[in-house]
Amino acid sequence: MKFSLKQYALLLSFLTMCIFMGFGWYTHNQIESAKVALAEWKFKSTNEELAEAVQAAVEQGKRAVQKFAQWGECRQQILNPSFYSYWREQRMMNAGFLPENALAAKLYNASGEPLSNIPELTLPLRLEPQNLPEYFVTHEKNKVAYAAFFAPVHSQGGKTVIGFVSISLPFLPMLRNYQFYHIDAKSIRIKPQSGHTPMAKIINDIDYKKKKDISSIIVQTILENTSQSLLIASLIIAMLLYAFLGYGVKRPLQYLIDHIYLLRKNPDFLHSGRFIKQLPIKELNEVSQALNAYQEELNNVYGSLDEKNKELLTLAYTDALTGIKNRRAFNEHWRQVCHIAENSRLHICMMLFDIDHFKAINDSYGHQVGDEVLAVISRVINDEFRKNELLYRLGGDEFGTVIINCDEKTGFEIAHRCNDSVSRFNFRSLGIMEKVQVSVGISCTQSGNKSDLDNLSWQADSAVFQAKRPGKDSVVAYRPEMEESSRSLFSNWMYSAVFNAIETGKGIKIFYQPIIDLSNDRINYYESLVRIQYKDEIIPPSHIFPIISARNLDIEMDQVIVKAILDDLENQRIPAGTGVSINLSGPSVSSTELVNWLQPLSKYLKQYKLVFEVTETALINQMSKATENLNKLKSMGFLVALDDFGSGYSSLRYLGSMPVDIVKFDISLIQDLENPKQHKLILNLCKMIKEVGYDMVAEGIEYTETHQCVIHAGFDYGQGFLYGRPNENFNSIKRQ
Amino acid sequence: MIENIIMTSRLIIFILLLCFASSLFAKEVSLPLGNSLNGLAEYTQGDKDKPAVLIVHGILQTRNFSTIQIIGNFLEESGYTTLRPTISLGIDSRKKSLACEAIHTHTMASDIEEIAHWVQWLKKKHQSIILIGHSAGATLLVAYLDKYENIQITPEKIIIISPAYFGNRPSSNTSSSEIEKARKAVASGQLGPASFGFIYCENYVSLPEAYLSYIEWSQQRTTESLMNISNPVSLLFGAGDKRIDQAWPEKLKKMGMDVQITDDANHFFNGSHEFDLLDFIENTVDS
Repeated sequence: MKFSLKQYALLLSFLTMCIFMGFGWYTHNQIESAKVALAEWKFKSTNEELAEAVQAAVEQGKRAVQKFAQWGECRQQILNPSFYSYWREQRMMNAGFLPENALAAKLYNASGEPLSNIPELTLPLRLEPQNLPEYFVTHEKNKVAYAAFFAPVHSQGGKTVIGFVSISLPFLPMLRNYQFYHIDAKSIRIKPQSGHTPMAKIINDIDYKKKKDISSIIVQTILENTSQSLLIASLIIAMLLYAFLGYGVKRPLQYLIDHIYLLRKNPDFLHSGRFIKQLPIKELNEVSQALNAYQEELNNVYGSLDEKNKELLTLAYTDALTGIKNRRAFNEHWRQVCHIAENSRLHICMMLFDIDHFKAINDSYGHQVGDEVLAVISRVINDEFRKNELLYRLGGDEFGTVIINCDEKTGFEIAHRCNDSVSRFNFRSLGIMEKVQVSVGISCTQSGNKSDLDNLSWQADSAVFQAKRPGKDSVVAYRPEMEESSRSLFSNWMYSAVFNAIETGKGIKIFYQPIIDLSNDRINYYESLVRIQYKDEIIPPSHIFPIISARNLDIEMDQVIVKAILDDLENQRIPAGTGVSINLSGPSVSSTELVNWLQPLSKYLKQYKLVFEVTETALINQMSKATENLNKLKSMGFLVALDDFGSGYSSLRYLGSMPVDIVKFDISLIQDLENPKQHKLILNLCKMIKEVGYDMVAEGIEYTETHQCVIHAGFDYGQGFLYGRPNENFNSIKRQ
Repeated sequence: MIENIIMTSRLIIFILLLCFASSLFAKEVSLPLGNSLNGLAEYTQGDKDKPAVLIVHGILQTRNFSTIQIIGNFLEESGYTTLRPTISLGIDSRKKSLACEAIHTHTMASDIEEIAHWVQWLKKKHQSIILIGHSAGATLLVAYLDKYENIQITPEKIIIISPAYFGNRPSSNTSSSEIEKARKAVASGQLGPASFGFIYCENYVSLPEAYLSYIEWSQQRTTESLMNISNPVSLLFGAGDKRIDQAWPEKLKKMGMDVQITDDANHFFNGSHEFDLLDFIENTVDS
């Protein structure tokens, strides 16, 4: 479950508020508890205070009666009460030995008999010497409570009790004189009681009111106000916290999120906009700045990548030799043209240019000159094109273009103009003495039909084929009747079958031709040879590869073949203990992805001898990359065979630097063994190659004599109809 | 050996100090006076080779009166044994001065009997005694000696300080009308307490007979008694004493009495005259 920052802020604020409110509640409870405790304490204190006040008043009364008892004149009267009445009247109350508020005083002899029989309402008439009372009495007249106190009178230093004294004091004023803290002194009342109330019980008859404790009220008010303030503060803090989180955190974060979102959603923003607003939180501001710096850095990287992409795009769509657009660019252009022309009435004209006898030029003057020829011709033709018309090098010596809004007549004019320019060029400057010409095939359509557009390619091919025929005009436009003459090679169905096979793998048939170990005449391994089946027809390699080569589908074709062989290996169709050799085209050998897509074969290396056959031409064209790839394959356990040795350059210098294990002599060299003049040369060549350590395969062996010759020449393996024809079914492959 | 001497010396010093301390120890003595009353006195033991001194305070006062305390303390510090009774004035174990307004049933005779009790008590403890009286206490001593002149108490010395007689006394409330009132009351049998003017008391509540017992002791009666005392009597007067006839000291002097008059001193020898008082005492007891 994920929450937004706003929700978290709300939660945090709520929690903060809850904490504060909880604290407030706790404080309130504590205050209430304190109030209860305070009330209890006050109640207790009040009771205690009242008891203390009563006790203090009693002590005061006791002190007063003691003072009275110690008065010498009391002793005088007790011992000699002759003039007691006089003394009582004149002296006793005025001598200052009794409290001013004393109601009455009375003297008794040692027996408890009063010195005078004059009754006192608040004092007993007689005393029991052994049981001196302490009590309160309510004055009947004025309803005022009086306390009566008694004390013995001693003689001879306190040793002998010679009598007793008693006094009665108004208790309430004495009580009220006490310094009360909790009790309102003025409110104290003593409930009138009949008879005497013992001292210990007087407290029960006292009513009073508590003082208003101003300080306590103030403190309570302060605490309650504080509690309320805390509640308000918690609300304010929660709101401030929410506002802070919203403004200080959420907004800056949202700002950063917007920034990142824009970077993600809007590529243009990467180059244009920047978020330069200052954020209130330092760290987030630093993040924002870092994001801007990152954006700037990314922008630079993107700029650099754009340049590199453009560069790569240019390289990808440019032919390195001639500087004009390559087949990839042509295909791209063709798709666009088809898109535009489909269902329209536009004239579309495809032209294919092919240099006449280019192989001969190469062979005669070398590849360097050949390359120069290609460059010159491409430049010359391109110069004749109008704006927006481009020449593409489709492969080898073949060039092409597609011109929109160009009918056949205009196409003819352009083609002738190009042809003338080429013819006029002084190729002698390149050291070529012969005339160099190009053949041009033209195919045009205005139908807007897709199939017609698709047909333009092979129709132009057919036209070039016708143009290259001896006696034909060097510029030929396609005519339907040409289809018949070129059916075997370039028929529409064949194209379709080849393309379909490459695209879907359907129709691909792998035929295996045995390669014999000449030392024991046993099948050592098989060379895989591709066929394409279309309905009941089997298209041979001689028809397949021109199409493949013309369309630069070599790698795709190799991949389909490898896939089919993998299927045979997987299903154990290939006899155990043998092996398979697979032909790799030049583009495949120099492909950067070669090792990757051949990797699945490696798991069969333990069971099978797996050989890749490459031609000299394939190696020479991309020597560096090809060597790297082949070395990797060799390190993985694959073997590499140099195919068709002797058909091309056959340079021993090249052979020495080529990463091969097996040299497979071209059939032409094998056939030359029968020529006595060549025989010796080939024998010596074989000897040299053998001494270097290569295994040698002789192909094209059809006769026993040739078989004997290759054995004599030191070949290790032999291949040819003599040993077996290529066949899909291994059971049908028989040693001839 | 040396250690033994030191220990012995320390023991002796301790015993001496203990004896000296005990000699200064004052205690209150309660003495039955034979009339169901008890009298209290402060008794301080002094040197046994010195006479014991009985000091009598003035009327209505106690032994704690300042002049008595000064004299007593001085003598005690000089090594004399002192006995300072408080005359009961009819109050059992009296400790405080008696107010004028209290019922005064005591008489001159009852006071003399109390002094006699204390002299007898002291005589049992000490062979040689000195009697000192101040103010009315001095008059009581004179009256005592007058009554008991035949008894061989043989006080070594009698020291009379500011003697104050009761009748015909100047600056007092004892007027002739008051005396007459008392006499009429007695004559008419009205013997109960009544208020009289007496010395400094305007409302001296007393029985008429008791009142008259003091009044009888006038300047003349006192002088006669003084002259009859066979033992050596030394008298000290303050020239400023306004409670007596200021010519009286000189009269006594002329009559051959040992009289010393201190200039400016009042009845109580307050202030710097305290030294004159003590010098007189010292000179008299040591002579």
